[in-house]
Amino acid sequence: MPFSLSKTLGTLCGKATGSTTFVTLAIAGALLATSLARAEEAEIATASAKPADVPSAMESRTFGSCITCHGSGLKGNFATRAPALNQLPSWYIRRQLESFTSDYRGKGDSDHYSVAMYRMANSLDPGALEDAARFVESWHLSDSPATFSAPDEQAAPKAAEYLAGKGLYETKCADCHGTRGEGNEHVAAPPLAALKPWYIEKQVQKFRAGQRGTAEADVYGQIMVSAAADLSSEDISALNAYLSEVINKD
Amino acid sequence: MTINRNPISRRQLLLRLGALGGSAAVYSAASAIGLMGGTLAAPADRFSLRKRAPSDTRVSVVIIGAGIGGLSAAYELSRAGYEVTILEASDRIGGRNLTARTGVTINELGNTNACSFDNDPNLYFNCGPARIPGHHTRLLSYCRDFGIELENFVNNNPQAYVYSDKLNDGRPVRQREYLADAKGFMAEFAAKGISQARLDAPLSQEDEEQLIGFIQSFGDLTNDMTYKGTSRAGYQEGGLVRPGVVKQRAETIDDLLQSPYWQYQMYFDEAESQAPSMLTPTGGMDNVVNAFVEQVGQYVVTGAQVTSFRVSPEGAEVTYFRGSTSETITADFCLNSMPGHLINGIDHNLPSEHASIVQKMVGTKLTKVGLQMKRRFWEDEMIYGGITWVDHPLTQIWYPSHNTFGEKGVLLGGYCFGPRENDAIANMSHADRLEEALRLGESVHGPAYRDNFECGVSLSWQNFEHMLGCGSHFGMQQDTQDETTTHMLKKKLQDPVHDRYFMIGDQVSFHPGWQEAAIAVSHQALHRLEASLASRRL
Repeated sequence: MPFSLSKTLGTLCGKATGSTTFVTLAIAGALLATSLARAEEAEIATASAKPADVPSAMESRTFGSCITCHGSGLKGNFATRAPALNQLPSWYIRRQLESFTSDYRGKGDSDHYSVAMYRMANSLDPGALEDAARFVESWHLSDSPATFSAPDEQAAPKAAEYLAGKGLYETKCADCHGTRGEGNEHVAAPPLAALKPWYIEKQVQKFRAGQRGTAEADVYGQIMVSAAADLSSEDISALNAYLSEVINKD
Repeated sequence: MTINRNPISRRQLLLRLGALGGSAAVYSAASAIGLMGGTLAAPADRFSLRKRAPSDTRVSVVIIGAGIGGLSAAYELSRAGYEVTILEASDRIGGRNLTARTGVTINELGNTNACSFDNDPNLYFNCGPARIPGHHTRLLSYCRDFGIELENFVNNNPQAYVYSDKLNDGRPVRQREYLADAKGFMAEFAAKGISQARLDAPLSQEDEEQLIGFIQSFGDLTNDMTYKGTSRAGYQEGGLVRPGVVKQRAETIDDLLQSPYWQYQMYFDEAESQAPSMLTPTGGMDNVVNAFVEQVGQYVVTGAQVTSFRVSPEGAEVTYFRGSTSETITADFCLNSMPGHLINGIDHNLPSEHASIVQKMVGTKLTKVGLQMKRRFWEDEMIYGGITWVDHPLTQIWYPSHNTFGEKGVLLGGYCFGPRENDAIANMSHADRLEEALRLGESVHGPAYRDNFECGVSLSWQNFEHMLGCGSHFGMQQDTQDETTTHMLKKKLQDPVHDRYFMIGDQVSFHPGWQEAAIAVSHQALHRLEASLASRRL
């Protein structure tokens, strides 16, 4: 079995006190001998495979923690409110790590998930931050940017909310985020096609509520603050209806 | 008539048995005749699985998570001859059963802190479970079987305080004073209401006398049925060689209502799981983990972070990262204690009726702060164990039940379990949490609190590595708010998948946050696993 027995037992024996524990230990010793023999005989099929692009940095607990929140393959997890990272371009990943460490994001936020990421990013030194960015990149699904899927407009008549959202997207969002949600590095606009509608909606709410994008040095964040200020709650709901149709659900 | 049966001594009996059956026979016989100190005969309802015979088909079980649920399942399975592997994401075994003492690191993401308590067995802090109620028979029977030394845990102490800046001009009040006044005022109200009760339900004269007697003694009222204070609150002075002078009662019940103490705190120790007498392992709750590790530590693979699993009618396949490699293990059965909100983030093939429930789960918020004090100043205030309740997000201060009059002590300086109050503390840095706890402690105990502070630990389980929650529960979405719904969802999560996969842990129980619940859920899963084998004639 691929784990350290001696380490575990060493810790244990160091803590054993009292005569009853001593008796238990002696018995554990006897049990151990039999169970080891059994473990050796055991043929538990164990296939070993190293995925192509996993950096050796995976050894560190830090990057295991990326997966704890953001899910396996960094595909995101609604239950931990962690966005999908596996289709975001490198420039955007780096920019966000920087915005957390530069106090643009997370600090003083009322959303504890965001504060958790703020604390996490700030606990890493610059070298570890770079490793974190590389770790995230190693999970990229593809080199080509994520784009919206074209909904089959003929298949079924679309709800008014979807159509309103589509119109809003084309007039208010597409200039920066791209007509197919592919993003634009030159204006630091992330590919919305790479994110989930619940996450986008939450961020728009934050831009509206002054919890994101208000830092003086966060020039691009400020653009988004002014864009979000124009949107009503109905607009946000309509955009969500549109994005839910065109963003890949997997 | 004299019976001479050529009596053999107990020692002789054991020696003979040893020659026949080896050490195991000696051990079980010694237990049966009560020679093994702490390991008394097990109660009749002690959990056990049918032992697998050497000729039986081999059955393998992979367990995800080495918390109390996973460890207790592994213990029972290995004893019964199953092949067991436990995959644990962390490099530490025990789950939320974590005791901070010198050298221990608290791996809260973004708030890692090292415990720098003195190297002294009395100076520890139970970060997760800290007390065992008497009705937790499963856990207690393991403690008995493993010979874990237990001591009494003082959970409620009327000598400790109620503190609110709105109560008694912001000066702490002894709980006994609050309790005495609250009962006194309520008894007065009841006495005044008697005439109405008489009309609604005609009382015989005898009944009425008894009822009046009950009300009078409930509140310690005077004979004219008024509350004028009581010695139950403690004496203001005297009471030994001079007559005691009863403390002045609060002016009106309104004064008491200024503190939230009446909302639930006043009765908290009437709950079955909080009532005296409670127990705790001497030296720290992690003695429970250590005892399990002695039994099954060899089956635990630490640092194994599960990234996907597949369940089928043939068994389970679990893939995990360990170091820089990805490994896959197959087994006949899988017990999964991974928090529901984390299951949602990994690849799995759970049927939608399971997956859609897991998707509704979120990490439970719970924050604790532990403070090492260089002098046990609370003993000067006649407090030995128990809890002070404060009207503040930090909610509680606990005093150690052990090592009375020792040199130093570790206080619990804060315990937030309210979901809203939690963020206020959890979002702080470790240093800020300690500062907040000291500020609060000073307002209850004065400058001694800060003056004696040496070092502290803090953790918010919602940010803890590989857990992100003090368990997992159904959040506040509209469709999971009412109790009937959550009961139904939990029962569904307990249902096996393909008779091969069982979700375990306190998260699927109706007693979340307690080790007993994790054990009970594991025991249920093991019984079902056994039934599944029997139905396949394996």
